[in-house]
Amino acid sequence: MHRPAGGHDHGDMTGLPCRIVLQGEVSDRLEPAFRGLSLHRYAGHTELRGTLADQSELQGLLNRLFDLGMQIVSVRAG
Amino acid sequence: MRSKLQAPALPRESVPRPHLLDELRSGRSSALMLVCAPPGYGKTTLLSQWAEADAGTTRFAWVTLDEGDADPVRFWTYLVSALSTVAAAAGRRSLPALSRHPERMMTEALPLLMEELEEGSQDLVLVLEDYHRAESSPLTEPLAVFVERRPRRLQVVLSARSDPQLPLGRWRANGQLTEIRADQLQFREPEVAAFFDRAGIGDLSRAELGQLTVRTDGWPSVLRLAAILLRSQPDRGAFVQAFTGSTRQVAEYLATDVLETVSPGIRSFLLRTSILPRLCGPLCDAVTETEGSAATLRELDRANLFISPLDGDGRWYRYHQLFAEALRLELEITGPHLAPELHTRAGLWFEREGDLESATEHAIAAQDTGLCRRLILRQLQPLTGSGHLATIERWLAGLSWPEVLRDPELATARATAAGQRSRPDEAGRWLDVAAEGRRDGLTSAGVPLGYGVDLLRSFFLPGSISSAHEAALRAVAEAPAPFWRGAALAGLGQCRYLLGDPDGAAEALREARTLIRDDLNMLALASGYLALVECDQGNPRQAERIARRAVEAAEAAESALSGIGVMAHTGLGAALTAQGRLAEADDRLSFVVGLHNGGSPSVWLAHALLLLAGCRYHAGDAARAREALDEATDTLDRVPGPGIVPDLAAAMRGRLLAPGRRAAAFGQELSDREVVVLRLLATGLSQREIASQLYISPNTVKTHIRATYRKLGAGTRPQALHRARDLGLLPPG
Repeated sequence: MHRPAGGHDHGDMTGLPCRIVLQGEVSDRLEPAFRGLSLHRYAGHTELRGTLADQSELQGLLNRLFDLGMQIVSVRAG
Repeated sequence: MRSKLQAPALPRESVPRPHLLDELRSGRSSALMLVCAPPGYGKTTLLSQWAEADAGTTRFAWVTLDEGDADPVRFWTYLVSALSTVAAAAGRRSLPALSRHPERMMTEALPLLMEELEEGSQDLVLVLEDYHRAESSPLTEPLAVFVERRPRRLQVVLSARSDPQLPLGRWRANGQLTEIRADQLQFREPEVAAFFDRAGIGDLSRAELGQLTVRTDGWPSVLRLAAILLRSQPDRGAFVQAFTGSTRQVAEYLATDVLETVSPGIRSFLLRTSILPRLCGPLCDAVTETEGSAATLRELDRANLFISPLDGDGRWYRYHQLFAEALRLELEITGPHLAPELHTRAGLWFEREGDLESATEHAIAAQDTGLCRRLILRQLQPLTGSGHLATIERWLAGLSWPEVLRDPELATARATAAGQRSRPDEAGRWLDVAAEGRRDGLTSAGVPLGYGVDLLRSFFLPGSISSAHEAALRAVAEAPAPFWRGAALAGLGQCRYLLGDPDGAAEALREARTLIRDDLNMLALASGYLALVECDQGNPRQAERIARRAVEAAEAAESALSGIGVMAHTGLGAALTAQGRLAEADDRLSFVVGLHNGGSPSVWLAHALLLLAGCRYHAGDAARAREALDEATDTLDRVPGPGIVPDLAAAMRGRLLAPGRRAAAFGQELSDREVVVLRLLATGLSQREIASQLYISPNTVKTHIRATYRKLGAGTRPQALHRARDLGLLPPG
């Protein structure tokens, strides 16, 4: 939840390595929507790779993909 | 309540789905009908069709939920209000009960609502649309209970993007859940044909329809995008080939292509207004800084492009969700710097319109610290006062960018929210942040920041009581106006009471009460402590009057007391104990303990537990008195500088350990009942009053009293009481 600014907690995060595979091929121009993950397309699928801050950011990204109607094939985090 | 309680208008070319309507109707016998699918599967359209088709036999209550409804008070207010449009009795008593005692939702408002819904016989349907937007853990349990115990004539339907956190597994196993999910909502080929037919594209071949069905998985909203594109295609066959041959994401493919078919003006309008959950002409004018948006919206609706009306009079619209998401993504890609500015414009528009809550949502999305500060502080008092603390908390949690975390005035708002939830430690951390601001800087309430910080320290007691006392003295000295002097005196009264200065407390509290009449929570704080002083000085009836007036003022205003305001209930509990009305007192004090227990260890909690222990001691329930006392001691160990409260705890422990019922002189023990009667006698109750307190006959009371006097060797009440005090059976008088 919210915590006082006194206890900054931004600096010490190690991050969460993620691989998310989507059905279909996502074009490069959508890259800005994927929170810094890189796009790799193959055989009718798209893989997003990279590091997110934490589980909450992953959750937010998954919601976004869902809202955009993208079909998620697999998620690997950590 | 603008259009939240209205079923959305039915899209003009919707495809009839009789088998799904039958499915919905068949859900009447189960507890919950769940319509669950990703965006764009036509959940809302289906439910609107049903409401229209069965309007003759069934009455539909409708709530379209959004993130703001995660606040339980608001969620239930909407739910009950919607029901009141279809069942005359609904809400009559449950709505006032809800706003007065939101924390007693399960025991008060909910049972009342059930009763109200029993009146009448017509079949009802309650649709909770977009439940996933509002879902939050405080909603879950009461909603599950509501669904399970609803009267038979009411069918509850919930539409959501993903499975709600309700006991679905259990309901499924018991046959209490009926579901319509994405695979049932997908259009089959005949429906795809009917859809394109209604969209004015009747000349597709069987093969093409089949290809489109497979390529889109029968996803209605994607088909809608395809229809928009098809209308402008000279060679439809070629389009279908290209579309079905592409491996691109269908939604992305179609959304980007659709945007290319519209004029640059419309394209810009669509992108800029995509940030709005709901659209109307003037709002779009403000956000796009143009004119004539109302006409644009009507035009888009008429052309069946992307939006559908929310109400009958064509004022409010919303985007089809999937398309809105695609638009927002496109906005992010083509103008990443634009969204915050657009949100700020929307926020300012809603502020001008007086819809401060929508304004706040946009201000947060814009990360506009100044606007957030202004809006949240304007609403802090009314919302914490009316039990909408959850809304404030959700906003504050959303204010998480570095600048806003350091904002001194918002830090006071965060401290207030934490304090009202009985979390003094957290309140203290935020007050430390606030104290880094300029002490003499004026806040939006027009008081110096330093005064505000000191006032809140004296209210919420984040550190030791003596440091809060010093803060209270500074606040009294620096109070900029009579009302603020009253507020500071209420804080001072609290500190003095807790430092063992009842006379000084009474003086401050009496003056405070004349100055802060309009703030129910502050008034309740002052009244609660004044009642405690009156009790200690042997005036329990006067104490009860004072505390009860504060509680009733809040109830009359249909406002729930929170945090500091709960002190009025504490004072009332003490006054009831002192008059021997022990069952009432136990209820009241347990309620207070329950509220504070939701927070972190506090002096308030420890003190309320001690009063509860005292009440149980008087009732002769030593075991449960000891329990409350142990909990109080435990709490005190975790609170810094708790003033005289540990002394009160020690005195209580002494009383509980005292040679309970030995009547030493005659060597005869008093029975448990006799001890209770004796303690009630000491409060000045008559025999008849004691009888009604204990649910026994006056004759039985007489028997107990005679036995007690005999065992104590006393002839009269004063003698007996005097003797009992000497023996430690009663606290010294």
